Formats: sequence, C-alpha cells, structure tokens
Amino acid sequence: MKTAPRVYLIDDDTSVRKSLARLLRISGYEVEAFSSADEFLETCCMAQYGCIILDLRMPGLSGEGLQGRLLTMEEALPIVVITGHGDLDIMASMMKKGAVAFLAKPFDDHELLDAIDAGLARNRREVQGRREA
Amino acid sequence: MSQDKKEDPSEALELAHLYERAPIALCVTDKDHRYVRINQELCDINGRSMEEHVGRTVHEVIPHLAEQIVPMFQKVIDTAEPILDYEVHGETLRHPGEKRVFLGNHFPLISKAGEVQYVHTMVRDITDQRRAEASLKEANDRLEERVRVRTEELVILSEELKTEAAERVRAQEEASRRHAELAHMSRVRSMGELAASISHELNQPLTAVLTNAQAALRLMARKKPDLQAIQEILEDIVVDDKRAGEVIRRLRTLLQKDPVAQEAVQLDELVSGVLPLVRSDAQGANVTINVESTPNLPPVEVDPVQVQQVVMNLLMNAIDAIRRLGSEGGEIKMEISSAGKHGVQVTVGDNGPGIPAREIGDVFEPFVTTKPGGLGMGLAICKSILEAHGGTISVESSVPRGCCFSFTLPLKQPPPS
Repeated sequence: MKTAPRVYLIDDDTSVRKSLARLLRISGYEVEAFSSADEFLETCCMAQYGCIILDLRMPGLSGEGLQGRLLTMEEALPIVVITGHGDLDIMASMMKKGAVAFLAKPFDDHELLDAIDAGLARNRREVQGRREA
Repeated sequence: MSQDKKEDPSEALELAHLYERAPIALCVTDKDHRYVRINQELCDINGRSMEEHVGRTVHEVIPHLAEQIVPMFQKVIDTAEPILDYEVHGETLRHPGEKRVFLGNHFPLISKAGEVQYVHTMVRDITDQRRAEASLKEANDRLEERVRVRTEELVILSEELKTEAAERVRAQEEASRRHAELAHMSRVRSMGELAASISHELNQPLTAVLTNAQAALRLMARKKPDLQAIQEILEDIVVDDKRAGEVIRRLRTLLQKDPVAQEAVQLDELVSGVLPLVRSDAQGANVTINVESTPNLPPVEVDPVQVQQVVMNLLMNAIDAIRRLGSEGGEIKMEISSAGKHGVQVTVGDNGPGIPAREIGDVFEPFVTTKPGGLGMGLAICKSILEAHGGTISVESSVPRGCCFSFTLPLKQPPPS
C-alpha cells in the first residue's frame, strides 16, 4: 500500500489555508483543508498515514480542544500546531500531550515541512508499533 | 334716673329729630305721590329745600326720575308689600351732569283700617360704593390676569424643566454607554490585549504572503516553471498585502491624532469613574488605591473615553507591577493637582519593583516592555493619546522602589474675547 502521505490542514483563515495547501501540494503532499475543527471532525475520515496541521484559535472547537478529542481515539495522527499568538501556556500543555511542533505565524516553509516530516515519521513508527503489537 | 324720665324729650320729638338728622335719605309720600315728610339728606340729594318738596308730587320735584320712581310707589300702594333694594339711576341737582346710583327701600304705611295711606322711603346714594366695587373688581381682574400670565410662565417653565429632565436622561444614557465601553475595555483588560489582537490580524496575511512567496520560489526552481500558477500566487500575495495594510490603517484610525470628542471634563471625576473598573484587579492583587485631589480644579477639554483609557492603563500597569512582587500587595497613590496656570496633572505612583534605570528612557516606545509577556503597546498608546490632546507624560523611579507616572493635560481654552 503505497499512498502519498496525507496532510490535514485546519485553519479558519482563508488566505492562510489556501497558501499552506498550495505550498504543501507543490511540495508533494496530498492535502485536505478544513476551515474549523468541527468541520474536520464531522467530515474527515483520517487515513492511516498522515499528519494534522492545526491552528489554535478558531471559531467553535479550538485547536487545543481538537487535540483533546483526538487523544481519546486510537490511531490518531500527529499534530503540528500553528498559531498567530504567543500562547505559551497552551504551547507547553499541547507539547506535553504529544504535539510534534509548535510554529508561530509567520513561519518559514522549511520549518513547516520539517515539522510535517517529523510528524509523518512518528506516524509511521506508531503504525508499525501497532502492527507488531 | 326715674326722676329724669319725665324730662326726657317726647318720643315723637326724638323720632322727628332722628328723622331729620339721620345720614340716610328719608321721605314719606301719600297716595298721590306727594311728599308729606322729607329729611334733609334727601333734600340735599334732590337739590331742593324742604319747602319745595312738601305738598308737591314726585313728578313736580324730580321729573327726570319720576318715571323710575312713581310706578314703584304705586306698586307699594297697590300691593301693600314693601319693595326692597330697588335701584334708581340718574342725575340729581346735587351732582349735576353726573349719573349716580341710589338704592331704595320702600314700605307701605298702613292705616288701622288696613289701607295703605303712605309710602315710607329710605334711600342711600351707593354711587361711591359702586365705584369702589368697580375698582375693586378691576383690581381683582388685573390680579387674575397677572395670575394667568404667571401661570402661563410657570407652564412654560415646567415645559422647560421637562425638556431639561429629558436632556439629563439622555446625558445619563450617554454616561452609561461610556461606562459600558469602559467595562468592555476592562474585559479586554489592557491595550496590550488590543495590540495582541491587532498583531494576530497582521500575522494571518503575513503568514499567507510568506507561504505563497516560498511556494512560488519552489515553482520557479523547477525546470519548467508553471507561470500560470505563479501568477495566481502573486495575485494572492497582492491581496494579502493589502489586507495587512488595512489592519495598519485601522490601527492608525484607532490612534488618530485628533481626539474625536472634545468635552470639558473634571479629571477627578474622570478618575473616580475609572476606579470601579480596576477594583477587582486591585483587590485580587491586594493593592489599595488612594486618590488625593486638589479641590476646585478647572476642567480640561479632552476626549473622556481616551483619557479614561490612559488612566486605566496606568492603573493596570501599577497593579501588575505590584503583583510581580508577590502576594504581600502594595499601594497606588494617585494625585490630581494643578500644573501651573495652564494644566492639570495626574500622577500614578506605585511601590512595585520599579523600572531599571537603563530601561526607563524607552518605556513609551512601542514594543518596549518590562512586563513578562507584555507587548509594549500600552504606554506607547497612552503617550500617543496624551500628545494628541496637547498633553505630556513622564515617568520617574520612586525611592526606595516603585515608579511614578505623571501626565498633564491643558486646561479648557477660554473662548476668545
């Protein structure tokens, strides 16, 4: 099974979402974009391999709230957090709960792609671990 | 006494005397309306002597009044009933050329046989009384007119008071709207929060611009760049750059140089209005706020909401500073006093940790902060607001610790004379 790794992009800002999706596609990822955490939870069937790019402050369920929901699921994908705020407390808490990276907007394309690669690598290890278990 | 009785004047003589001298006009006329008896008063009224009356008829003596008098005499004779309070109007010889009013009472004098033999008449000249009554009525009317006019004035005054009351209600609504704005600011907590939300709004387009530019660079690096895709990216960059510019433009509007609403404001009252909004923060940090104000300070002309922002920001900064020292709490001293002839000064002093000497010169610069997690916008905005009002702000370290911010605002300019 050789599918391209899938990136789920969740950000309420249209410009940010469009530009990030564009960058990721140009960089060879398959991208699914969502304008809110709620929309993601309602419509997305997560693939086995992938990574989530998650904005923090959004209408409805927040990024932190979504991480909490995903932690209750088995086979949850790794999360890269992006935020326009210096929410230091939230950052510490989300990193503790397993977020791969915490990027402050605006960030460099390399930072994002490195974080995604780190997330996908962890995802692969986790899938592997589940298979062996 | 009993001896004297015999020497008393006879009853008839006494009556004759009384009749003669009574200050009321009297006469007796017979059935032919001839005067039988008449007293001096009536003679005087009629302007004729007693001799000219007795034995003559009313017609003969006062022909010009006979038309009014004779039928009435006749009626008393015919009916044997008295006629009371009968008015006669006309001239007399005593007051020639002057219309006068007489009030008469006429009684039948009845014989033992039961026939009316004479008419007894009592007349009073009530002209002067009538005139007095008339002038009294006139005075009364004038008084009533004055009351009416005054009442109208009072009605108008009452309308004006109603209008004034309505205006007062409007002013109160305005004040409560202001208070609501301030309460909202209190929720936003400080202008640092405002700056944070602005920086968030700037971050979004900046992120999109950077990401798009880097995506375009990646496309350019390919052997055959997709120019169509690159053009779309550049168009998106233009849109997001304009969006960032719009955020900056709105920030400028927020800090516009010309204050929006200029009003004459008592700074001590303005400060009193801000204190409730920081009370819970002060209590939470165990901070007491003491305000001293010079009485009867002249008003300053400012945008009250903006100056309230300044006061609130300085107070919140002071509370935050004291809080950083730990739970022991502290004190904020505010003083509102005259700054020479041309201004009013407000100082906010705290006994927090103070500002390091090397940093104190820069605290009003944007993005300079001594607060952990502060954005460095609050004091910059305070300075901007005060300068827009023609005021100043300064800071000095206090001894042994803490710091003291002072700002001045110019007095309301008197209208050019």
